[in-house]
Amino acid sequence: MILRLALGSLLARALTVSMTILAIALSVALFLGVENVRVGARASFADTISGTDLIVGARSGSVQLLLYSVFRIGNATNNVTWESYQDIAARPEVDWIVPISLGDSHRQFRVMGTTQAFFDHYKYRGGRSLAIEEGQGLDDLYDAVIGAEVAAALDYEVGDPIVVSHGLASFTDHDDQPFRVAGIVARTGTPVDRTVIVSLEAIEAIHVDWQSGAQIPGQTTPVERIRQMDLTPTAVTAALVGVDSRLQIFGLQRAINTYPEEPLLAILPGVALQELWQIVGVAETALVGVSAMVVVTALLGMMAMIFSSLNERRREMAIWRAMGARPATILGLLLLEATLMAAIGAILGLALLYAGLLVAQPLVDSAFGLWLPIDAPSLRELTVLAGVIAVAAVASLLPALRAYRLSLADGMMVRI
Amino acid sequence: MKPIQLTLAASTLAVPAFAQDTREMDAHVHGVSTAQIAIEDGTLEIDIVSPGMDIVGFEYEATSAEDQDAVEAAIRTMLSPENIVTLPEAAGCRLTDILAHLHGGDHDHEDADAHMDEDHDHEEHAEGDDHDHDHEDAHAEDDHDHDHDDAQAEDDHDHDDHAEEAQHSEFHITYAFACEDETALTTIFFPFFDQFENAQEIEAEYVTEAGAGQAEIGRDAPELALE
Repeated sequence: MILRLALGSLLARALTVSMTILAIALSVALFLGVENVRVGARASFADTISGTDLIVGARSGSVQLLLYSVFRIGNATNNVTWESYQDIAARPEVDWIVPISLGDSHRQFRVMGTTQAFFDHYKYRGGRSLAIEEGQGLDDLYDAVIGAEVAAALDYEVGDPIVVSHGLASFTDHDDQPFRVAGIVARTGTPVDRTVIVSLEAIEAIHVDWQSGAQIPGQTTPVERIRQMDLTPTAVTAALVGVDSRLQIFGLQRAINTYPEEPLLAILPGVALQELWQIVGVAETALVGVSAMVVVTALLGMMAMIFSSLNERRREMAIWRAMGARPATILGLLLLEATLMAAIGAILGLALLYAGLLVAQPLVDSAFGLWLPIDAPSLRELTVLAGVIAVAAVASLLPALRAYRLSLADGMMVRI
Repeated sequence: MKPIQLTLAASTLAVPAFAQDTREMDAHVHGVSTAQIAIEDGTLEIDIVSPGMDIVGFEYEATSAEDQDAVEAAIRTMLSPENIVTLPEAAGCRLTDILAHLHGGDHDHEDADAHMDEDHDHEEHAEGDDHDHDHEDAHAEDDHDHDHDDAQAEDDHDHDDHAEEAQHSEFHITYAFACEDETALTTIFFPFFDQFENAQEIEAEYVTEAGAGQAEIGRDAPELALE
């Protein structure tokens, strides 16, 4: 009965009520959206690398090393000499080691030189291995294996030629030594999707005629001669290391970090990632805070709307009183109306969020490489929704109490 | 643990010939200790490095009887792991190895032979001695004496090599436990803070089945939750 009254009363003021509901819905969608992106970004980062115990690079910062070696964000300050790489590889604790050589690009995508071992040992999303969807792995010197995003964006197929550019944003191409797309890696949701993978020797090969960062004019060594050359690299950018036993990780890390011949840095990916979150955490908290304030603002708007409606509804209340409604009933009615508005707003907000996620998911994935999962609302999200509704009920108490007092005093003798 | 220490020792034995060519100092923050915790197949290893300032309140070479007593008391405290870390009862962990000593600056170099000797000791005693408290204590005392002598020797060496460098000393504790139920190792408590009033924080890094992580353990909440 009272529910029908409340609904009817809301419908009677459809315009103002729907604006209020829309404000609540938008604020709730924003708040949940920020939360979703935050959680999605963390999961996406954490899923990018697993099974690697240590990452070794030149001594810089652990977060920096993690970002450039795994996420291809930023650049290395220095390389690791091949001798040091060999020294580390020869240590008894090392189970496997995969070299990574970065620095060249193809269009907007990075080129990474590595070995076949990368495909065996690089794991993502809790231990999944890379799968070659089409074609095969690195076989010939001029073979390139490309990520799913590279293939999709540039419309490449197995067998297509591909020319690597020198550096990251330069107009110099290594066009004397074209590569061939040998394989396409199945989509992983990691930076591998946006990487062109070639062999370590190939990186060396395309730089045969180069000296101190520039091509020696007029000199082109024929491909046949390059194939005969010793293409052992002089340096790599970083290395992924797997250790025999977890108990040896810290010991090996210490040994690498105090390696006397060259300043090196070994990091545990998980630890570096948490350090990164500590830095990013401040901004995250700020974002969550701002979006929470938006929810509060929307609820304040609702409160103001109810307050202003009280005046125009004084006669209505008086009639209810005359019909035998007790002051408590009027208080209850206003509370119920506010709760209904908040509930509809919250549900609409949730719907908006999912609609937004559906639209944004592919866009965010291709632009930032973040995969935002679309799951059923988590307990946390449901708690937030319940919280919004509860706060709305409490906030409406103020105008409701005022209506309660007015309805006691006004009676039928309302002078408007 | 032994293989690491042996290889560490082995790798550092070759170093002295080049040592004068590289100069570096480890970061050293008073009030902040570091802990490295690794768990695999029921074995739990905890490695804690604390600035001397946190433990005994000074970092110069202990020459007076009073200072030497303070160092000895600290090491004796560390030799009872329950003073430093406590593990969940349910995990059923038994101590299998212990090392507590004081060293100057860059430990990896100068302590190499100390580690080697200890390793040999351990091998001789082998397993089965783990629960024998008397034995352990005796052994521990050996450790202590040994290290103490060694520390002196190191210091002499230090003075020759880099007399100008600031002196920072650190306490280094290593515990190894064999645990019956690794999955019960969810929280590690650090009574460490009750023992040493100057210690403010432990920066912990850990590797477990679930992966690696890090945490800051403060005096106000002296526990580490392992996921």
